[in-house]
Amino acid sequence: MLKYTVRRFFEMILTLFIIATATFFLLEAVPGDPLTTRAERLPEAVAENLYRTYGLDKPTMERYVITMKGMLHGDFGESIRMPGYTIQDLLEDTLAPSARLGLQSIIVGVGLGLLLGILAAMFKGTWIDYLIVFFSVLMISVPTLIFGLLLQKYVAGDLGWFPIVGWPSGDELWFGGWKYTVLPTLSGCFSYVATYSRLLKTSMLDVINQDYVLAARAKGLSEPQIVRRHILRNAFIPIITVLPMSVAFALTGSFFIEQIYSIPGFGRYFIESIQAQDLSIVLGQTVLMAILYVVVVFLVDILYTVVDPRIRVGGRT
Amino acid sequence: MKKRTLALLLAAIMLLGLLSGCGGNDDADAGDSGAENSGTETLAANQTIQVHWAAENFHSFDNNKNYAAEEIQIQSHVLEGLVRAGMDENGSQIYEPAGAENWETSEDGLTWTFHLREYYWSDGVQVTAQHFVDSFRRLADPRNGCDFASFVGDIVGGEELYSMDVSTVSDADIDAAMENLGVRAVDDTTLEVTLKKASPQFLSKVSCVWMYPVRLDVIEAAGDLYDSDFTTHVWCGPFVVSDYSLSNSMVLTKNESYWDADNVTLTQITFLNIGEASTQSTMFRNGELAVLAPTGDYVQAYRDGAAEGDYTYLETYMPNVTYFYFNRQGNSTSGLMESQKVRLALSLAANREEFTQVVFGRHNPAYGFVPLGVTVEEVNFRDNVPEPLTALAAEYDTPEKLQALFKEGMEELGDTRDLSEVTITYICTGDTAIKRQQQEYWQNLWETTLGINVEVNLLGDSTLLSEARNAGQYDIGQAGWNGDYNDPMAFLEMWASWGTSIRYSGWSEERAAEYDQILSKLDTVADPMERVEIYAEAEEWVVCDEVAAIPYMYTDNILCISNKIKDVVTPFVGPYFDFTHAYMVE
Repeated sequence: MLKYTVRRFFEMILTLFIIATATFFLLEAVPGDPLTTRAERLPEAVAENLYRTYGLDKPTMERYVITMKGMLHGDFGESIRMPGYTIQDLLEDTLAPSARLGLQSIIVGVGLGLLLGILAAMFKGTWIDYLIVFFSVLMISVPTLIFGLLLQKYVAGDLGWFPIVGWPSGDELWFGGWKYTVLPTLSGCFSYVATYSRLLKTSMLDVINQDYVLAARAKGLSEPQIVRRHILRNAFIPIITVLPMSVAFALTGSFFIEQIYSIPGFGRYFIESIQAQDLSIVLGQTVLMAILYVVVVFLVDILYTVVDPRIRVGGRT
Repeated sequence: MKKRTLALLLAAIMLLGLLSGCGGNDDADAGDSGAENSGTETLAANQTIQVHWAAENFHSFDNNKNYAAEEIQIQSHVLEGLVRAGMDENGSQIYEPAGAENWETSEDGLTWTFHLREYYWSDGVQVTAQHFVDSFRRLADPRNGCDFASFVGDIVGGEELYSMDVSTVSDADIDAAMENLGVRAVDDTTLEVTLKKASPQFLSKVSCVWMYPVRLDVIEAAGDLYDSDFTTHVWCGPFVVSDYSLSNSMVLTKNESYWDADNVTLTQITFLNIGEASTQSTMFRNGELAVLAPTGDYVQAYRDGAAEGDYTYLETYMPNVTYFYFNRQGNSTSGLMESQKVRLALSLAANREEFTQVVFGRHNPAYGFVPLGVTVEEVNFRDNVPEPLTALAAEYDTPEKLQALFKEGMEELGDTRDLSEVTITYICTGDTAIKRQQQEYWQNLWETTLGINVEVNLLGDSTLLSEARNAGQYDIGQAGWNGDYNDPMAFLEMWASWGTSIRYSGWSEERAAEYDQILSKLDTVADPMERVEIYAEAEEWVVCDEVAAIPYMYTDNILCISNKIKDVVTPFVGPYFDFTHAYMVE
C-alpha cells in the first residue's frame, strides 16, 4: 500500500509537470497575447513599455523557465488581466460560491437521480420506467444554458418566485440566502439526475439477474431487504467510480450557470481568463484542477476496496 | 483583418457600447444636472439603483493604469478630476467645473492654470494641486506602462518621458524627466500646466479618469494591494466603493463628504455583471435595472416598444469610425493601390446608406473620418464642416463615372487591362453570419458597380491576417477606431507620424510628413474656429486628396432609460452613464 502510494505520488508530480508545460505552450501557440488588443491602439513607444511592464517582451523559453521556477515555490505569478491578483487570491474570492453551487446541485441531482434509477429498475418495462427514461433523455440533451434561461425567465421573471440574479455573500456565503440558490441549483442538477438515474438503473438490472440475488430471494428475504442489502450495494460500484469525479468537477464551477445568474464563481472566471490568455491564472487553475483530479482518482481506487473487498490495490494478494 | 476588426468593433460596440450619448434630445431631462424636482414628481423613498456592468473588464482600482470603459464607469463616480464630462440641453458634450472651480489659458494657449476648489479625500485630507502633478507624472512614467501615457503628450516633456525605453534608460534619468514634465503645483489649489503646442482638446483629456488625482502616500501604504483591494483606497468623488466582488459586482454608496453632496440624491448604485442579454432585458422590464443598452435582436424590440414602454429610448452616437485601409507598401496584389483615383473610385462606389440599413438596420453612414457627435468648444464639428466625401459622391453618382475614374487611375499607372480583368483582394477574418454578410455585401457592391472582380480572402485568425498583411498579400482590409477624447484630433492624428499602428497601410514617412505639415498648422492656433478649418483640411486630405482610408460607418449608441430615473447623463466620451445627479421618482 505504501509503495503504491509513493509511486502514485511521483506519477502525480510528473503529470502536473506535463500538464503545466502543455498549458504554457498551448497558450503560447494561440494567436496574439494578453496585450494584443490593448497595444494595437497605442503609440509604439507606449506599447513597448506596456510589454516590458508585464515581462512579455522576453523570449518564450525564458518566460517558460521563469514560470516553472515560480511554480516550484507555489508562485504562479500575477494576473495580467487583473493586476494584483494571484491564483490564490482568486480561489479565495471565487471558489466558495462555485463549491456551494456544485455541492447543492450534486446533492439534489444525485439524490433524485438515484431515487429515480431505483424506481426505473424496480418497475422496469412499465410506464414509470418509460417516463423516467424520457425525462432523463430530455434533461441530458437540453443544454444547461437553455434550462437556466427558461427557469430564469418564467419562474423568476414572470412569476417572481425567486430573484432573477444574485448569490448569497458574507455570513450567508455557505448557509442561508437559499432563495438565490434555488434556480441555479435546479439548473445545475438536471444533468446529474439524468446521468445517475440511468447509471444506477443499468447497474441494478445487471445485478438483479445475478445468482446471489436469486439465492437471497430463495432465502425468503423481503423485496426491500434484497434491494438494500444485495442489489444496491453491488450496483453502487460504478456510481462510486463516477461520483467523486462529479464532485471534483462540480467544485470548480459551471460557466453557464454562473454567467446566467451572475454568480461570482470560479467557472466563469476560468473561461474569462482563458479568453484573455492570462497565463499565470490559467496555469494555476489548470494545475489546481489537475491536482484535484489526480487526488480523486487515487481516492476512488481506495474506495473500491471499501465497497468490494475482493479488490485490492498495491498488488498484494 | 476581420479578427482585428472584430476585436475593434467589439471593443467599440461592447466595451464602449454605451459610452456616448450625444444627439439624444428627446430626453429632456438628460441634459441638466441638479436634483431639483419639477411639477408632479415625487422623490422615491428608495434611492438605490442597479445597473448592468461587464465586470470582467474592470481590471484595477489604479486610475492611472485604467483603460477600459467599465473602469471609467466606476472611477468617474468615486473620484473627482479637474472637470467632468457632461451634456448640454442639445445633448452636445460639455465640460463642467468639478475639482477645478475655474481655469484660464494664456493667450498663446500654452499655459493652463486650474484653480481647485476646496474639496477632500474620504480620509479628510484636502485634494491639492500636487495630487494632480503626481498623477500626471505617474501616468507618464515609462516604468508603469500605463496604456494612456500618451495623454500627457501635449505637455512639455511629456512625449520625451513616456517614450523612454526603460530597458536602456537609468532610473535617475527617468526621475529627472519626470521632474521636467511641464506641470507644477503653484500652491495647494493652483495647478499650472505648460503645453508644448496649442491644444484646446487638453480639457477633454483631463476629463478622463487616468488624469484624475492620486495620493502617493496611499499608493505606498497599499503596496501590492493598490490594484486589487479597494479598502486601501481613498475617494474624492460623489460615491465611494463599499463592496467589490471580482468579475461580478461593485457597490457604490453616497460619499457624504463629497463637495457637492447636497446635490447627490442616490444613496447606492449596484453595478452587477449580468452575462446574458435576455436576463438584462427581463430585469429591465421588471424594473430591476435602471438603464439598458439593448444589443442584437433586442434593439428592434425596444425601438418598437418605445411608445408604450415605461422607458425613454435614445439613439445617439459613439466616438467610432469604421473604415477600409489600403495596402500602400507598393506591393498590393492588384498593383493598383498606389493610384489615388483607384482608391477614390472604391471609396465613392460604396453605398453607405444601403450598407448600414441592409446589414445592420442601425448605425450611420460615414462620408468623413470624424464621427457625428464630436465637438469643438461645445459646438458639433459636423455643424460647421460638411462631410468631405458627400459632394464627391454626388458628382460621381453613376457606375459609368466611377468606372471611368477607376480606369483613369489604372492608366496613370500604365495599366491598360480591361476592368473585368482586374481583381482586388479583400482580406478579412470572421465567419459569423453578420461578418459574412458584410464581406459579401462589399464584394458584390464593388463587382457590380465597378465591373471588377473582388476576391474575399477569409483568413482563419488574426495571426494569419497580420501575416498576410505584413507580406502585402492584399489590397484592402477593414478596421475601426475609437476616439479616446472628444476632439477631431482624436481621429485625425492616427495618420500623423506619431499615430498608432492600427492604420496598417505601410504608411510611409513621406506621406506622414506631408500630413504632419497640415497638422503642424494647429501648433500655434488656440482659436477653436480657426482650428476647425485646419481639422477640415486634414480630414479632406485623409478621405479625398490622399484617400488614406474609406470611412463608411459611424457606430451609433442605443440606450433605454427607465422613466423612474431622472437626470442620468450619458456623455459622448466618458462613462456610459453618469449618475452623480440622478434621482429616482415614484
